[in-house]
Amino acid sequence: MVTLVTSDNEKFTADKEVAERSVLIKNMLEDVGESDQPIPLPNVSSSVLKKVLEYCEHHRGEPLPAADADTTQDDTRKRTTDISEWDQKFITVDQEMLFEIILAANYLDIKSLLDVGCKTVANMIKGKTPEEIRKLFNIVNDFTPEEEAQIKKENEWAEDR
Amino acid sequence: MTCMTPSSAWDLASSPFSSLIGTNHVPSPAELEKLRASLTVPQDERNHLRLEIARVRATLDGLLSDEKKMDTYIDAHQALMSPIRRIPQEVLAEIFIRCLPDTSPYGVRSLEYAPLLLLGVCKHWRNIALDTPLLWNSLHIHLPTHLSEEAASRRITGATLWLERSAALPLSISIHATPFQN
Repeated sequence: MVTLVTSDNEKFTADKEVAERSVLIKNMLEDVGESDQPIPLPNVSSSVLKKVLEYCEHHRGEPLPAADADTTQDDTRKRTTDISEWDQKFITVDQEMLFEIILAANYLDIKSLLDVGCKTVANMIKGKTPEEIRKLFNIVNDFTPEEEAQIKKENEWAEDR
Repeated sequence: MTCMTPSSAWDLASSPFSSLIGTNHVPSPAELEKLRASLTVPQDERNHLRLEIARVRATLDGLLSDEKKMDTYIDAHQALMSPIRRIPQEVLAEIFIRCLPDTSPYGVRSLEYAPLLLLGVCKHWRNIALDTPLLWNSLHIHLPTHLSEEAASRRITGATLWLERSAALPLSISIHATPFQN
């Protein structure tokens, strides 16, 4: 078993096999060798780690992506934003938690979870106008009128039929 | 506020003229006098009521204006806390790659789809999208015969700019050109 300590000082125990779905934790365990020392995760809160461990537990035993996988080669796979039913249900959380999960997956280096998070955000973006996207994510339109005019001109070729 | 007559007193049925209301009866001079007298109190009270309504309305307008200011203040601060702002650039780039339309194996020249859609959201997104070659190394180009020289030139410039953004990545291009009839 592995003990993990969150940013809010909560301790979680998990099977080594489950915890090692995180490349960061796997590397840390390899570095310290056989030890009962708890692993500090200062960038992950307890509420987020709980969700992350739920994901790792569900996907325990599944093959992990190769460490040296070339990210540019799976472009086609990335274009498919299909998410499995269980993952879909798992990632149905509020926007704050969704981005917290993405940040944790990135920090802990759990590629498949990061992929689910990124696909979910991509699905939220697809089919929306720039204005709708700004509203959804509280983004400010910071283009000057001159820049807006420049973008409009630059985009003319995309509107020709 | 002055002491007002209960509103039930202004029920038409309780008027001394209730039997005449709604008819074409022509009042006598004495009835006219009585009618005028019976309206003194309600007209006076109505003036008071109108003043009171204006006062309450002004108070309500003030409260609504305060609420609007508070909404603006809270929204502006909440926007700063928007969780997407904490997402690092390389992760945002990964999200953008997943925004590419999955209906076509080639890049789509449309403002409704990534990558062009992403360029118009904000400066930060625009810069990340422009710096993500994987968004730009694929394109479908359609060159129909009806295209004017100006539009064809625009299309070539646009496609060139698109493909330049792919940096050193291998390109995947589909060209659909209709041959001229003669």
